[in-house]
Amino acid sequence: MSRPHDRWLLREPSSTAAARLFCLPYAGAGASVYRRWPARIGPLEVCPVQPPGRENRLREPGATSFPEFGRAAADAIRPYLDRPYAVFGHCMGALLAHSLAVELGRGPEPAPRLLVVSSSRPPHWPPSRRYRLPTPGAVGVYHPSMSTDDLGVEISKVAERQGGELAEELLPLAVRVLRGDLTLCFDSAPERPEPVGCPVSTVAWSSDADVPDDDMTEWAACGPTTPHLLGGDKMAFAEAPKTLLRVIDESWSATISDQAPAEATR
Amino acid sequence: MRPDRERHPTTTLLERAVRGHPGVTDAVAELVDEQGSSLTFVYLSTHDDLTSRRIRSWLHVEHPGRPVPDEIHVVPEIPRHGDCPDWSALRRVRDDAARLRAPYVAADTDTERYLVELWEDMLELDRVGAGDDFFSLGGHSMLAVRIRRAIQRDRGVVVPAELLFINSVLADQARAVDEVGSPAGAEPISS
Repeated sequence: MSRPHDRWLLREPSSTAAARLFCLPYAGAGASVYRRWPARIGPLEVCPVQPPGRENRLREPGATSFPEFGRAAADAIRPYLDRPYAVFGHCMGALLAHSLAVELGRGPEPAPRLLVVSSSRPPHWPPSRRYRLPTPGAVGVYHPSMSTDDLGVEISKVAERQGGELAEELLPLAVRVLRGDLTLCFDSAPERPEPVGCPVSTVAWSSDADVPDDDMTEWAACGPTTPHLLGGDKMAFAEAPKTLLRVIDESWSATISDQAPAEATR
Repeated sequence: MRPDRERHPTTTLLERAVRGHPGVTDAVAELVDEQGSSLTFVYLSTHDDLTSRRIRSWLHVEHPGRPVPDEIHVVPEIPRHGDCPDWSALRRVRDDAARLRAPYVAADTDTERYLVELWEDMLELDRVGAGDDFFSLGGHSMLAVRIRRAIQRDRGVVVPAELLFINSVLADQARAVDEVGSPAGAEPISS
């Protein structure tokens, strides 16, 4: 009963959307984290991407390097690059989004018009600089040196923050997915900045105890960057707060009018 | 061309009925001819946490015997041009919802019918079909656990959550439940 997009995209992209926004989940999570997002943000159709190794793709091996992920994801969404598009990622999702944007920037299809990254240090920082042990008050901060129990505690906090309670029986599964992602993050760091060939909008969160807005400024090494600082907790991104939707919508309008003046006045 | 479908007696009645719900702030209805059959769609906004499923059961109770809409869509706000509903924007709402669904295939087996009802309850959706995908419909891991527990309670079958994840299409999930439930078919939990 599988349709072609089934494994990588939660739903068949619309044939009438003006533009698309491909959205990548954070470590340990799957495309369902975007379930509270609207179907569209301005002209952009929201298209959550499902990486291998989670949710309905739980038994597929996860990516072992970011470039490998970028290539596989690019191949999967290639049929849907027939109109202008942007890529969004939160936390580790920002690194997935970056690797996808780098790959797509190589062509032959048109490159993304915009990359939006939320609560994530720049991809070219070495893992020792990117990742810290959780500070008091930080939620959803993981480190490979943490024990299975400690990872479980963090995952449960994230679940609570999202209004749910993680069932005991899910913990082993959740930790397994997360361990895979942590390995990916720690074993596959680019040595130098890889530009994405499009503008970058960074989103930092005022109550983010882990990633301060200062740390996000060095995304500028990946492309012309516009920083944004939003009020609240980084986990709020999953609820699609109006402030975040406005950043995405306005960044998109700005980049489209800059890159193709003719199109904007059409 | 924009036919005056909002003035059709059926849609007027539906609008009035739905607006009678205390949680509804605004509602419009349209009648559309699609492939030879007339379908009614209701769009509503709410200041409450109303779902299409709740409105539908409320309509059944409050207006028994009246025609019910084929689809009910809850939107943050009814898009309008002045006083007139923006039908093309509403059509996009309908298309977006439709793309979450596989082409409708009715449940065929006992387990499929059971899962349809369970999913509809858990996801607060109507008309779940055998080809629908749990994650596309808005499902997530914590909901999968509630489904697992319900299956254990109602059917006496212990299905590992992992099996529910990877069999995210309803018909596949029904088959997995049947296999685990049959004496020889239990799949070991891998970790």
